Amino acid sequence: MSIRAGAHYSLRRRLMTAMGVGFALLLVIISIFLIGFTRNAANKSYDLLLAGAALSILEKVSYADEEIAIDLPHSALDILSLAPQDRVFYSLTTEDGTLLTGNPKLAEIAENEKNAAPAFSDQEFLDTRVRVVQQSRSIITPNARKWVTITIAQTTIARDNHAFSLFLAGLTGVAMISLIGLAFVWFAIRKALQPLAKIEQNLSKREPTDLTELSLQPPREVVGLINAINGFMARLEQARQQSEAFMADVAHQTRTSLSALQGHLSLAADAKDQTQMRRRLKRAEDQAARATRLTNQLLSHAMVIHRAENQAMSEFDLKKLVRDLITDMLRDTSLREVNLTLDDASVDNDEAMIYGDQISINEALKNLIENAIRHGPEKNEITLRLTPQGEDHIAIEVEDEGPGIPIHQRETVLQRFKSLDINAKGSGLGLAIVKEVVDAHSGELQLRESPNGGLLARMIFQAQRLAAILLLAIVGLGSFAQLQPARADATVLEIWGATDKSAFQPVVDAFMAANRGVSVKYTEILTADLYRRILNNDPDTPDIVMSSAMDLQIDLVNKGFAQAIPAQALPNLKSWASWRSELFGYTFEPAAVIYHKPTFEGQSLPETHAEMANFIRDNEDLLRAQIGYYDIRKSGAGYLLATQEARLSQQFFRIAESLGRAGVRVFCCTGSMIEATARGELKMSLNVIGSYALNALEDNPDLGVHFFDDFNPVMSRTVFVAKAADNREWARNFVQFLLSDAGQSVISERSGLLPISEKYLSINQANRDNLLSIDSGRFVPIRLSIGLLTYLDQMKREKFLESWQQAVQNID
Amino acid sequence: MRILVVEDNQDLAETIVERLQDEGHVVDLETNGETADLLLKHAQFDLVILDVNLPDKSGFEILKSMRAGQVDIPVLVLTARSQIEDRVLGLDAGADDFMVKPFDFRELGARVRVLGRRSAGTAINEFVADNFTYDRLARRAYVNGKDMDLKNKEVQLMEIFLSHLGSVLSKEDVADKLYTYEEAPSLNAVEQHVTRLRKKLEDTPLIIKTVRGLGYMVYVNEH
Repeated sequence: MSIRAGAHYSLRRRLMTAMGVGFALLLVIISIFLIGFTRNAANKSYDLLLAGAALSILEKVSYADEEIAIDLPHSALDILSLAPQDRVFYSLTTEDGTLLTGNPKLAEIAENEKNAAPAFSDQEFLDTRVRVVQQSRSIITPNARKWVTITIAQTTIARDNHAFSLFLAGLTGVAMISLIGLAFVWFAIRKALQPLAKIEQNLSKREPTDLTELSLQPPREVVGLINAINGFMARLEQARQQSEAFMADVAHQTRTSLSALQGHLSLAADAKDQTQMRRRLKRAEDQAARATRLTNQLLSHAMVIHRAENQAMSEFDLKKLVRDLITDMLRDTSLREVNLTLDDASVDNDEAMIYGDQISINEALKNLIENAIRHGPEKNEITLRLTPQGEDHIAIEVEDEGPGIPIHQRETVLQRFKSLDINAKGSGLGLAIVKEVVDAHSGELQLRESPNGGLLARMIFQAQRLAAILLLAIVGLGSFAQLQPARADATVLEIWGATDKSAFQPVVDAFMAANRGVSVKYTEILTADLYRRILNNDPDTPDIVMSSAMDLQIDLVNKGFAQAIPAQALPNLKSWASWRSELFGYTFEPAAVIYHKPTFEGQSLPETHAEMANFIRDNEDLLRAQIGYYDIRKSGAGYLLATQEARLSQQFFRIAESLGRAGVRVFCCTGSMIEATARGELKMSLNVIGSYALNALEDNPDLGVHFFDDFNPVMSRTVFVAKAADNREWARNFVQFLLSDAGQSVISERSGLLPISEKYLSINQANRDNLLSIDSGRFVPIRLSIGLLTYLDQMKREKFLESWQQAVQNID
Repeated sequence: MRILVVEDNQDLAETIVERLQDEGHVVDLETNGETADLLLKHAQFDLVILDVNLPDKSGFEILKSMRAGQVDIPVLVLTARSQIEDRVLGLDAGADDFMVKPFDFRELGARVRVLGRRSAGTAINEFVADNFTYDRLARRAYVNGKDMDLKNKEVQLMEIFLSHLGSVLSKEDVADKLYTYEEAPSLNAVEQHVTRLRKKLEDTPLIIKTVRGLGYMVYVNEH
């Protein structure tokens, strides 16, 4: 007997699985608590930022010149930009709902409650989940006390990330504990299963004949198993003893039988006369018949046991078997005295099919019939009957007119060599054979008293039921629609940019050369117009928006006009020149001073901003009306540079004042200042765009470029892919190209702009004097962050321009 | 009868030969399968007693080649295996009877006589058993020389039984043989005919045995 390999299962694995499931369940429950907890914790930390920003804004609200004014502090948005990926919206309203400054849409959703303490809430704004803080403050005006409310909304990326990382940390801890727990469980199971290993050892070391009890001191849980094994071995031992007894019996029976035969024969040989010899020979012949029968039965017994072990099963017709057997047996002349009746009418032909070993069942039935003949009277009446038993069983009965078997002996006769009647020439094996066969077929053997007083032996077998299994295999042929990218023959990538078309065209050409099948349409639009058209959802939306006005670009991205690009695809990206994986700086644009070289022959220009203020004042007359500056009221770039300089240095307004006294002239663009300076119309221009200035040097020998030693603000031209881009893939490719080595190299060599990549910047033609060494710390990049929104605030801008105008005095 | 015994066990073969000679038969013995096969193609026998396990050529092969060569001498197969496969194989190959070793020699003698009667009867047109005689040409049966005055159907029945001596015929088999297509075969009528015939055969050694549920078997009672 062998156990099927597939049927094995591991106790350890089952226990481990159960424990694993338990721990997993625990993890889920803990996770649910953890989510709530970490969200709360993250909210607490980031709400402090919001509260701080709100407070710092409210502090700057004042009443002056008969109106409520706000000087938006730079720190407020800087605090909020500590969550670098998040967009921020704010609005300042009075108690009657009037918007003082900020986002009018946010003012609409703001509830007007006079709450001196910050109130937080979660809301939807511009289709995004935002965390909102609202705080109010009363302002004393001559007429009355007025309440102003600041509402700040911040997207939740940072706090979500924070919550997630807290969650992850917590979960990792719990998971570790779970793993350690599982490890302990594993060890525990191992330990617990050790007694089994001992049993295995004990059993595998035994000799096959050693069937003594296992003498282990098992734990309580294994006692049952040990007892079962011991019980089994005891039965095995008993079976072995029985088998030995059987062998002994067989030896005894055959030898006795043969001895008797030999004895009769030798007696016959020594007979004194013919009559005596004939009588002794007759006895010898009878003895030989018995020996023959014994041998036949022993062989038959061995055969049915052998066949039962080898499962020689097939489907066959029991009715036919019975008929064939009777026909065969009737050939034997000894059977002709018996009255035989076959009664198989109650079983239909198709009901008599059974699954079993034809030869064994034939043997069993033959034994029953022979028994019936042997134990019956001279004029014996034997009936064979086939009857259906219930739904799916069939019985074969053999009935005789013999003495039958008393109830108390019916068990005994089934054992080997337990013939009841020694005179009936029984071998003592007939019913044992029948019993073996019936058992091998999981059938039943019944011994009853027949109606006419004899024995009724009944074998019950299971009938074969013909089960038709219909298999319906439905083969679904899934045809998957191939989604071909809907790409027109020639894709047109639309770019709106503020950079000179002539300067930028080489970059566009290089991109088209590298990417067949795409043509780029570049439209040059002034920064302010560009900003307004995007903000107003111009129907001709471009795929890509490029501008040098970093603050306006930040505002557009903050308001959700951009889409993200995987940042890892952008090798030359600088951390200061990117925001939210949506806005990217690709050029390096330091503010510079240009001057008319011949005018300052032999003179060194001031090295710091403070010295510059003094220098202008000291040379007022020389420079009068010949010093240039951006008209920061009109030029976006000029305003950006000015505000950033104002942030970086206390000297800004001193310089402005000096400029005013020296009769500064204001210009729209760097280009005109360069031209005027090159011509000598202007002796000097401040805060011009360095890249243009450096590139102008070659054609204008009288032009000089000067950078300060203390600091020079650096702008960057920025690009984003519009959210409504038609050609998203190509647009992404273009941005990737701009920041790739190939793109940076083209920008550096052919566009007249300065690349953001240090590698290409250091080998740039315009940088041959190594003026632009970034390491020196002189160049302070303007970081792309929501802090840039501070000076876009209407009130802040008005106030800044007012201050500037007061300083420079007499410009128109 | 002239009988060929094909048996390779010398002791058993000699016993069989002696026994059959005692009963008045002419017996030839062959111990090799191949030679037995050759012998059967040239010499004429009334009966062959064939062992299954033989050197050179098995008993079944000899039997097959006999039947293939249109030799229809009755064959009694001796086998040491009692399994049904042997029985089926033997009967399929064309054996007329089979016996499992060890067997009773008196039984062997009886079976030989049955087979002998079956074949001899057709040859000499007369069936004789003790005081009973059946004349196949005249279609008349005699007991102790006296005509039994069998009716038409009884004569037919007698011929059916005599040609199937020692084998079981179901009632349906008998009816099929007894009645033509035009006549409606009735099992009750068959029973009545059999009963009547049995009564007339009461003083003869010819026995019509009924196995209820199975059919009839006719044999010659030798004691």
